[in-house]
Amino acid sequence: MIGEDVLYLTVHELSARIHARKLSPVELTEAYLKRSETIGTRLNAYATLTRERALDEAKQAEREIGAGKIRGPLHGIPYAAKDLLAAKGYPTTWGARPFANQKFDFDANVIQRLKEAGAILIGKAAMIELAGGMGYRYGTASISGGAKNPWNETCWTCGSSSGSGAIVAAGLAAFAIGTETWGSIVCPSAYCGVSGLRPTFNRVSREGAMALSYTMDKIGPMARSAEDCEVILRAIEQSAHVGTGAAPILHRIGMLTNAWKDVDKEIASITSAAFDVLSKAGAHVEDAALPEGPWEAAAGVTISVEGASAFESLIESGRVAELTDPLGKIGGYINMTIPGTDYERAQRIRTIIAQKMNALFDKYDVIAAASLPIAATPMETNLETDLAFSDPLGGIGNFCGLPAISVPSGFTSKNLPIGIQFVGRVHDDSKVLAAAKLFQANTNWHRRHPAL
Amino acid sequence: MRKVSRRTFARDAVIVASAAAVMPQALAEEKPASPNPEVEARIQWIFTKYGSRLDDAQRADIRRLITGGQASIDAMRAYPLDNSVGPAR
Repeated sequence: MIGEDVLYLTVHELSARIHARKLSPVELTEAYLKRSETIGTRLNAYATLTRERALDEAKQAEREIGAGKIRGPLHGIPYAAKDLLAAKGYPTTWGARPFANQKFDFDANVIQRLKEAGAILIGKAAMIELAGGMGYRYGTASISGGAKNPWNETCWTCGSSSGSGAIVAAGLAAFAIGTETWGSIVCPSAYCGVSGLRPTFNRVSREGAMALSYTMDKIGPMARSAEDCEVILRAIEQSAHVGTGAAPILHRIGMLTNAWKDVDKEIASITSAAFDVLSKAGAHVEDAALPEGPWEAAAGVTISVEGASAFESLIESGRVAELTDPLGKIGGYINMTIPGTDYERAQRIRTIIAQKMNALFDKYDVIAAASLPIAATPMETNLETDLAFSDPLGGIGNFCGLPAISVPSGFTSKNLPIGIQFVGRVHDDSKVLAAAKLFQANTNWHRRHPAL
Repeated sequence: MRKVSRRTFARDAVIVASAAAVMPQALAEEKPASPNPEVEARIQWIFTKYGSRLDDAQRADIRRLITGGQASIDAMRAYPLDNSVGPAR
């Protein structure tokens, strides 16, 4: 009988036990599946469980490890993948009713790489329909319903990697794969109190993944620690721009003064304490500011136009009416009306902001801020009217393809997790990981888990 | 949970929770109906092409969202760009 404490171990810790043959991959997979079938169902965390495939892969891992053939640190580790990644023979719904019966006869590149690394796919994580590509007004915008936050089940997990956040936080798998076009890894990681890495654009292959924005979609790990995210990134990346040698030394961290225009008092205090931790740990922390400009508008135009193109046939067919969310039913029509000159202007503005961010990163190894200015909100919150605020760091970071990580930095008085995010220059994924690892070496927030 | 009033935030608001900050929808500030001919042309294009699929509430939403989102597009257009600035790809 595997206890809950084991299910909440990090990949590193599970791997050590599995490879020392003190923990059976088959028993571990069964335990995660059982928990996923009960707690996972309650939380709406999954689109599909891949039980048969999981047990096949677990048995293979057990055989290989028993024979002394260890593929690497992910060998025998169960995980979930967001339901916009193709998994051979299983439904890949993209979270949307028009694609409820969609199946592919191949694995997405990321799933294929994880299979080669010996990881075990136990399910497809629930997600916001079309990763929010047509817009959405409520956290319930999914074919599988709203994903409930394990820390407070009346609250949402955030999206669009909503199930991935719930799965990691609830101990339903050792890690999950999420995707981000704008906020979809950082936000659920923060709301759910897990560590989520948004890699540099194009570092992880998008082959076999639903496309929303061809120039902004990223795939990344959500896990129990930054250290785990690094191990998973090594397994799924298609191009290692940063060496696997010594960890980079962090000279300067830029503490952003204008990432959020209004931050909840409790979160401001928690974030300030987080910067104190980093300073005491030896990092040089100083104030920094994002450049001012229409970056969010340009990023928004880019996603809107690319999304309208990616889903043009769905929009033209009228089947957007089958989407769950009232905004999703009409968003595509609106996005079809954005002129081509505006799209091209947005790409030219992208050149400018990329140059400005490069100049900022000449001064700082990473920049950092609260992952969000608020904690998780109730499921029924109207995101359009009650939760709209400027997010220049998310806009710039995603528009420029910058790597980012969100890690837990504390809890509110209502016991909801808060995150801090570190953002780096393109291809400096190792620096954002180093900053997060430094923080986690000096804190234990990432070790907390909800009572379920 | 404290509600974050959109009135306390900048014009360039986005729905933070949305993976795709679908701009026109996200910039949903309630503004009076605009006489902006471009806005009206965009709205009428949708109504002409897809109007048979839309109910009155959806039509009203589309009008509100396109009207509210135009300020952000205008701000982007106002940003000075030299001829030499090419697109990022």
